[in-house]
Amino acid sequence: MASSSSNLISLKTSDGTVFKVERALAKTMKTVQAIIEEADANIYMIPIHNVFSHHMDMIIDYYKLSVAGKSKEFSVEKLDNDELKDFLLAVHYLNMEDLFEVLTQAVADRLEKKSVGYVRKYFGIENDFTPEEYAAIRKKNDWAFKGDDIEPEEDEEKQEE
Amino acid sequence: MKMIKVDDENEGRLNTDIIFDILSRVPAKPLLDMKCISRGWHNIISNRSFIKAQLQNTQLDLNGFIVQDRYMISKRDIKTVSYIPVDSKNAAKLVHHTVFAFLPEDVVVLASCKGIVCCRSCLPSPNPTIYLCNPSNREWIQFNWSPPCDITESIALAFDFEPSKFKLVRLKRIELNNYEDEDEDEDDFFFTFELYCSETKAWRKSTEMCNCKDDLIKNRGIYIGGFLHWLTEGDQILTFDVENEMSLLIPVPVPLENEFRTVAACIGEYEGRLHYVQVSEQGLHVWCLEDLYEFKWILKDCKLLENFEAEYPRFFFNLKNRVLESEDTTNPWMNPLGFKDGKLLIKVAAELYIYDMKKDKMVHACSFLQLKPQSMSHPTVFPLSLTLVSLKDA
Repeated sequence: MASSSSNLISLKTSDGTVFKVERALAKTMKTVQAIIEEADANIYMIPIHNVFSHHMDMIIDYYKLSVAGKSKEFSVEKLDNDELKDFLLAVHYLNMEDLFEVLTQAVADRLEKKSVGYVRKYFGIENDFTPEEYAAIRKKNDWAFKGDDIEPEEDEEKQEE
Repeated sequence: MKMIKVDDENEGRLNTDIIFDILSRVPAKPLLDMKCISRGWHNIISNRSFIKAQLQNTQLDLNGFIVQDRYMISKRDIKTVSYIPVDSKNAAKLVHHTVFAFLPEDVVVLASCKGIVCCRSCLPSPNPTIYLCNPSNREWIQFNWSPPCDITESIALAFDFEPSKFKLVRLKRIELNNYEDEDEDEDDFFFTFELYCSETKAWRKSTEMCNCKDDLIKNRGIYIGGFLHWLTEGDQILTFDVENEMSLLIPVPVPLENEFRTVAACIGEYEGRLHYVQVSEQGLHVWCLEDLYEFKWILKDCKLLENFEAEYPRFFFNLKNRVLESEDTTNPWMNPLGFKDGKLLIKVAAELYIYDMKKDKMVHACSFLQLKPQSMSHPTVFPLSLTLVSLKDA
């Protein structure tokens, strides 16, 4: 049984796995920290919605690297774009500042190479411009720097340098 | 136990705060494209506090080089302005001349700083005007160019990202007869400084003057870390502390080898520091100014002419001999024109190349003919980055 004076906090992910993590790691999760501080009695187990066990694995990896001063070595390269988006949502829910910054930067780095059509799909955004407005905006941005060539738009990855 | 509210509607979708955070880490060029994704995104990207966050989170990337020619001796300006994108794949196909077509008249480009460009009316003009513009969003502001308007004068832009804060520094060269000396033919040349402040919206003569025997070459001032730098014909770089209005002359670096003759040179910014690029019989040298007041230069890169020839035989046949034999000092065979962020625009014979110092890679940019020049020898080059900054906030 976990008591509040113990060094380990139990976190239960959406898929039912229980992780026992150090208090210091739990402290980096502001959402969890808020739960602990507001509880009147000792907490036995804290459920974390929207967070799966594979997310917790990566969070623990990141924590171990940062404690060792090697946070730069943390990489999300092996995640595809959708997995990265899910991970970002999980970390956002847990309100973990540093890791959140790392992940938003990773998403930004991937997005800058993508076409407009892809970005729209990725975020689930509807194009609410009228065709005339849309054409006017494309024209406004394209002429200055791309001469007569306008880059292809739909669902294509832009040529990488 | 307190209940945690779960945002079920947005499960799997990122909310506006997260999108704001992600987009603020994306460089300006792709962001301009993303403006057309939706009205919401268009508004986010145009928003003033978003632009401020984006400036803090990203670095300005070199997008291309503005090239404009000028007649050596003339009272008229050349109106054509060319733009060479740095994107390695399509440079030659995309050289074009409409970057400033959004301005009310043809212009001569004077300075480029952090994505903002300063230009002026072509002379002769009934109403000489100075423009400050951002080609990324086609916005501009203008004010009168106070006479006398000299076709050769240099106006430099000192722009920092405080919104609406910029200064223009107008450089003039004057001659003062020095009658105190026994040799009455001794004339001293001085540079004078006149400043325009965005806060006061007025020109004001500075009391500072700089005694310099040489005139400017590659007539443009570069703003780095509070200082403006101009290259002179001699072996000094004219430098002006904009805030404190003090000038100094920084000697250019000279390597220790004997028989070193600089054939051509240019200056530019890289990693927040002034760099000096020189071509000589020893090849291409790129120096970094480590300490401004100590005049301390460090050699960052050097490449022999023979190596350029060996690695790019199609471009540089017989390069070393041509460089050394070239007698026309106003139009050197190999001429570095503009440098920024490790990329050098260099003219060799009648072709332009972009040399990437970091990757040690040379690509052909375009032929001089594509720039539609009217004289062929004195292009002024301005590196340009893209920025979302709005001048209307002034």
